Amino acid sequence: MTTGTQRINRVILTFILAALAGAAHAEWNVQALMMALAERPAGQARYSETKTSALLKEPLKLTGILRYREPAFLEKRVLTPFEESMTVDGERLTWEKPATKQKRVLALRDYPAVWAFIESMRSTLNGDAKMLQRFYKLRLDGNERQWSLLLLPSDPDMAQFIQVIRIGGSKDKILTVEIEETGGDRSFMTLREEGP
Amino acid sequence: MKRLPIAIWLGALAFCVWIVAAQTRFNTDMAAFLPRAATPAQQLLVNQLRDGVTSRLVLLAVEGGRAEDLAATSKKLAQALQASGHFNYIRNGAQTLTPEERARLLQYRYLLSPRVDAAHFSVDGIRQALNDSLQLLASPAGAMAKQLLPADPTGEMLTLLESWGGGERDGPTMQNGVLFSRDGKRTLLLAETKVPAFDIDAQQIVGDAIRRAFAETRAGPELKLLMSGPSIFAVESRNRIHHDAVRLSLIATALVAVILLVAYRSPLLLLLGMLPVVSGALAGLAAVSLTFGSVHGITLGFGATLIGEAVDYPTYLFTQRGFNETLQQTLQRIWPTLRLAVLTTVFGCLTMVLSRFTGLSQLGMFSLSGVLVAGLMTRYVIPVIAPGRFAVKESTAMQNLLARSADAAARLKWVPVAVLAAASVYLGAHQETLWENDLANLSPIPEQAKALDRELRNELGAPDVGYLIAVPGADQQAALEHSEQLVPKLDALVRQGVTAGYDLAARVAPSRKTQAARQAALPGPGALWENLHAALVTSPFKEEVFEPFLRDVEKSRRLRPLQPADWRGTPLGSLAQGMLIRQGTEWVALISLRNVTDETSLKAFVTSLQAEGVFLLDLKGESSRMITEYRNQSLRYSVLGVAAIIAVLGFGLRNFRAVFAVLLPVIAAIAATAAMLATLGVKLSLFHIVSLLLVLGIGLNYGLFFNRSAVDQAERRRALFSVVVCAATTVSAFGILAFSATPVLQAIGGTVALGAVLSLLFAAMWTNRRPMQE
Repeated sequence: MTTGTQRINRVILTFILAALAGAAHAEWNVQALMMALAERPAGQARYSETKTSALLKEPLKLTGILRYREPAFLEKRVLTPFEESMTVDGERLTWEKPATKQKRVLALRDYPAVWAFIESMRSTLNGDAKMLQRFYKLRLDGNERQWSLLLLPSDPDMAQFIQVIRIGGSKDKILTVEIEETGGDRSFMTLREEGP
Repeated sequence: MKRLPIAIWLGALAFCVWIVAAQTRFNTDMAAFLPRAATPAQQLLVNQLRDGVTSRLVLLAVEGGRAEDLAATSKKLAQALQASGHFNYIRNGAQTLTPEERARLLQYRYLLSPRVDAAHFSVDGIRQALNDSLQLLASPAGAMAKQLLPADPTGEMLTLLESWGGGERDGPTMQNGVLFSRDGKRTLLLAETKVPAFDIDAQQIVGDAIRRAFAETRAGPELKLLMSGPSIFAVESRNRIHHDAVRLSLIATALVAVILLVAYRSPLLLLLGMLPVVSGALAGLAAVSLTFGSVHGITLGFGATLIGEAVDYPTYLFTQRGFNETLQQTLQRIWPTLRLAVLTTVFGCLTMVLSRFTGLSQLGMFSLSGVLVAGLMTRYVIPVIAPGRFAVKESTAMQNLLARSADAAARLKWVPVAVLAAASVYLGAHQETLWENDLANLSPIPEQAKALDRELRNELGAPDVGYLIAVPGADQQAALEHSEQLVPKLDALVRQGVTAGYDLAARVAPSRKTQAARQAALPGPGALWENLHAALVTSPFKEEVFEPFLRDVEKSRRLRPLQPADWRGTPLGSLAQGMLIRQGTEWVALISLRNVTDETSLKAFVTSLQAEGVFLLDLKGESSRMITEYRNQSLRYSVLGVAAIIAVLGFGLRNFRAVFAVLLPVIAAIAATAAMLATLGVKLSLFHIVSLLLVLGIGLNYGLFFNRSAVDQAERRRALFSVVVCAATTVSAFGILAFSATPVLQAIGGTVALGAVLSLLFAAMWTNRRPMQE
């Protein structure tokens, strides 16, 4: 008995939602995405990554934790199959291997390709469009609920190694990072946000 | 018979012109400031200043436009500069190393890496290396490292690259593929000139080439080029001094000409009056050129100052001519005094000639011959070529005024004595702070330019070497080996925080012994293949990918060791070659230190190595010591010169009291000048000493002419007039120089003008005669 009106209501509701989504979609651009991402000053996520390489007999699977904080902090900590932590703060990259107690400190500017690579994650997580555009041409597909940001290296140093980086997410959350290297190697990473 | 002096003069003049024009080389080499028996530290210092790692660096910046325009200009400018052939290298990219350097490091990685030993290539060693490589592959650097992995699974290249990264250092950033300052407003370039910094003429050409290249390559007229560096400074100082000197000399000459015209009332006499000093300068140049082979720029500059005294000689002659007297007759009267005036200066300079410093010795030779020739000219040539009779109209009113003033002054005999006493006490009390010991403060470069240099140096992270450790060896290899032995100890210093880091030639060109030991540690092809395969069993890497590794190790075993000279034309080349110096029969490997924070520990460390001949070169301290030594020696020779002058005076005047009466006023004037400069906060330098020597020369002459025994009142009045004219020309000429913005000219001008005024006043006060006014 109630099904008739309910169905009509649902249809109307769907229309309204679609209209709203359309309106939202009109304003959905790189700037809006970056603003949404920038509104989170810090965050933490667990990730799992699959790396496929021509050098390896089989794909390498890794898990770990990503932490980020404005304005320029990013930590990628590998937990399995080995332990390693990589911290970037400002211009300085610190690389630590707990197993051998090794610690390296590098200046990002001396490794432009590494720098560009780091920014693909750091600047995206921190919503720093200006820095991203320094290294990449940006293209945004999809809508707010399910977006895909394409980073195409504009820097020749970087383009030599990386074909494209595809970052997928929903609203202000990053869900996947896919990296295609030149020569066919690739890496696919999925993120699961955790409370800060 | 009368023509003989003219013939000799013209002949000698022609000879001097020929010597100066055709045979004389001018140089601006710092080494002239070095005593011949210099310490090894001083020789090294001069070496570093002349031709060291940092002295050839030119820092460039382009600003005033959009980032894209700046970057485009930087790229084109770098290409144009490279094509000009003036530079060993240009660096405008963000990477610390150039592509050539990377290629060289890659080729020689197994001979350069300190990690290479037998264990490094054992099964365990390779297994560990493969684990590390896997981690690297999975990291953000993976995409980049992947290219190198098949040839370098043990990561030697990365280790080498990393050691040059200098992660802790502040430096430029990169935009659009070129170096930018941190604020992004300037693009930066670093270039090393082929010609040494001390070759100022050559550096001038390089500087012009840079400006031309910029004018041709800039993206828009709004872009501005900034240049800095030791060689740029050297050129700029010279041009500044040159420009100032030429401009002010013209004004001074005009002023002196006006004064002399008023005094002589004859343009012809004015011209004749210039002949002795011009001939003297030519003779001085020729004499220095003949005895030393070349003339130092500083000799020319200071020498021209010192023979300023010779301008006075014709003045003394012309203005003291009596009524209806021929010049010959005048000379007969005043020649004994004029001769003494010339001889005191000649003997005063003679002591300088004996100095161990070439610079000082040249200066002495120049002044000695210049003054001597000017004196001879005044005595033998001028009276012959001057018109037989001319009337110097005596201005009675003027002479009366002067005579009255002189009489008044004569009552103040106590003043010079009191001033001398007070000045001596003051100078004695402030002995420690009197002198300028910082070379940098003597530079005519404005503070603004120095600030820009500091800024660019900071932005570029260019080395600013303050301390160097010098490690000797019998030959190049021995010096390299010796410096390699210190590496563990240096690492300890870095860990203790004494210094932020160090650099040495052995890092890019290890000794042959070390390279051979590393080659010997590389396993043969069979052994390496077995070890690699054993290690690969437990690894996810595919077996076939490491073929390039096997091939490169085998190649490395046969490589000819890398020589320092192989790095020529690259930034690392300045390290490999510039930090490895031949000194006499020995070699010295230099170790540069970055950001020394604990000087005491550093000095203690180097002192502990004294037995091996290792010593610390404190560049700033050593250059201060050198100026001090140069100055002290100038002072010692000045004192000797004064002693020689006293002897000449004693011989000429044959009267102790007269010698005293001539000397006391000028000594008081010199002491008072020095003390007045000191109270004004001026730090005394070599320039002041040279100026005071001139004051001594001219002041003595004032005393001599004031105290000359004269027959009558008119003659004494003429002598007084003559001294006043001389003093007026000196004070106006040097007073003009005091207005220069260049510290050197300002010091010389101010000191001489002040000294001349005081000498005149004090000499007048000590004229021990009956009053001129009856």
